[in-house]
Amino acid sequence: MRTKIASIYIGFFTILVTGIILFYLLTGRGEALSIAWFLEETSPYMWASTGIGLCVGLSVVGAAVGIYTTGASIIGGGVRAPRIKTKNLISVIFCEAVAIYGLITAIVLSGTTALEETEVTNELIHSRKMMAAYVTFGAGLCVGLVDLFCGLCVGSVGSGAAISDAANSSLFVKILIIEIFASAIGLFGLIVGVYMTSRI
Amino acid sequence: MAESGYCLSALLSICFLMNIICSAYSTEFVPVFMWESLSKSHPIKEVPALATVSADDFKHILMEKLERKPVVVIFAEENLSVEDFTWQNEAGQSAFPNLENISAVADGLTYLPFVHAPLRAFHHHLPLHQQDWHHLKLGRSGFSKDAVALNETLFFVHLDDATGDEDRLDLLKRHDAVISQMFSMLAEHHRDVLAVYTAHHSSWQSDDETLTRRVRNLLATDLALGDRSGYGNNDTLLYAPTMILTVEQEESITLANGTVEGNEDLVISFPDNITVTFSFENTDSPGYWSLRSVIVTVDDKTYAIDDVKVGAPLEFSYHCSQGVILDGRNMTLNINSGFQIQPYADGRRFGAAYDCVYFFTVPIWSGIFVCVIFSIIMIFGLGMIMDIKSMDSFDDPKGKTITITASE
Repeated sequence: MRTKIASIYIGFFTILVTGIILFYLLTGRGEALSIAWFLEETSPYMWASTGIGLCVGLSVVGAAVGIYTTGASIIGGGVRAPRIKTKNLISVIFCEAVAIYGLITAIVLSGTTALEETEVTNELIHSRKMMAAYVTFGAGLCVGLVDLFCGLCVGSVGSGAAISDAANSSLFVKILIIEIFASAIGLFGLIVGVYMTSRI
Repeated sequence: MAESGYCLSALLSICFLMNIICSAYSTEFVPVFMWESLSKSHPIKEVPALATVSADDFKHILMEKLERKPVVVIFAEENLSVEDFTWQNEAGQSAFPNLENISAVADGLTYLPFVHAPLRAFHHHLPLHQQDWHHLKLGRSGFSKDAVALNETLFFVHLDDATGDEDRLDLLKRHDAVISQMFSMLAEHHRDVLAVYTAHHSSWQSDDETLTRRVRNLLATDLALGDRSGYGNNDTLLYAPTMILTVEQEESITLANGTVEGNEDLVISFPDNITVTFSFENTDSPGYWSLRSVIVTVDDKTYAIDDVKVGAPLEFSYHCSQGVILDGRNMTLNINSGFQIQPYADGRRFGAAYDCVYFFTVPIWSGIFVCVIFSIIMIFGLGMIMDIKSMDSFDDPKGKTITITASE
């Protein structure tokens, strides 16, 4: 079912875009479809806001899926081995940290975004605004995507840790090391995002 | 069995005959537009109270109008209908530009949109004693003044000269010019003239397509006859319905009746010593032409506008239906509504138009971009939800349902 919906959606968009492009191409107006024009003319505020939204949105999605995976395993394993409950909450905390990275980055990016005059009067100022907007978009997308996959990873590992802990309690500490490595990935994304933002 | 067959065929043929007979008697309604050069009490504009006017009612109306024995001139089309009167083109002009202004020179307008057999009523009341109908047929080039014997008092002008390839719009406009010309001629000569514009048949059945639609025409249309807003020299074509020039805070001048000169640049000379030059170049970006500057000379003073952002690829024209305002120091040239220009044009037709307002504007694209992101997220979520499977391994449709009693 999932693949059917996805293929209908992708197929529809492919046909639409192909049709539009072919029309412009075959009537001699190919250069009218200009991505450069789109990037130059769109408002920088759109890019900045989209970046901030994607930042917090995607990281929270990653954290949510991770907590879902880990939580289900802890609850399931805790039925037979109640001792794992408290110790395994640390996996959930690792997942939550991923969401916090996204949240902090979004707040920092919002701080740099302020509504000013939207009319293009000075080319230099306009180019600086566009740069700032693209950096915000890029940083937000970077942190969001990195934290998305980080959260997925931490969740999967944490789920495995809970189940193996239920089977044999000496395994837990070793698996925790794997989880720390998984969490470090999220930190990479945060560092890159903050570094990009410092250039505005 | 054979009898029922005969009965059936007899019934069908009777129905068929009745259909034919009834359609032959079907009433056809034709509009009648009457105006007089002198009226009892003026101005009267009679608005019909009933939707349709029968032949007898029309005879009564006509009797009142003919009381003073005016000179009657009837312009009879082959086909006419209300839709022809109400038709308007893109620019809001109707098919009868002269008739629209007739209320300025005439009194006593009567417009009856649906009259049954009006010409029969005329032939019933007229001619009065010693008069005879003076018939006029329109040739291709209208009629000459000599053909109209101004001493006659009853004129019947047959406007039945449509050719196979003429557009109905052009036909009506031509007839409109003829009607107003003839009416003004007769009104000068006689004191009391009654003019009637009607037809033998209604045109609604044969009328089709564009006359009742106000549709933006995407294909190139020819200029109407007498439309002076197109300028063209060997290379360049310009269509500008109204050009208004404002020089140094003086009054605005509407430029009209220009003559075209120039080879590469489009130079238009207007009366009052005003020349407007549009100069183009295609070296800025290869494959594109751009309007480099517009230079206006008024009485030896030259004003130039240099940063015009009008351009398109070669073989394409630039079109703008909003007003194009070209601002220079001390000079503004304002071109309203429907500006289209193309240099290096082959032939007398514009190429396809690049509009000043794009089809997908930037806000539309931004909206599409953000909505695509949302839709991806939504499709993703939808897929996940549809993938949820509930545990049904222990479901037993024939087994006992679980009951849970609530204990205190």
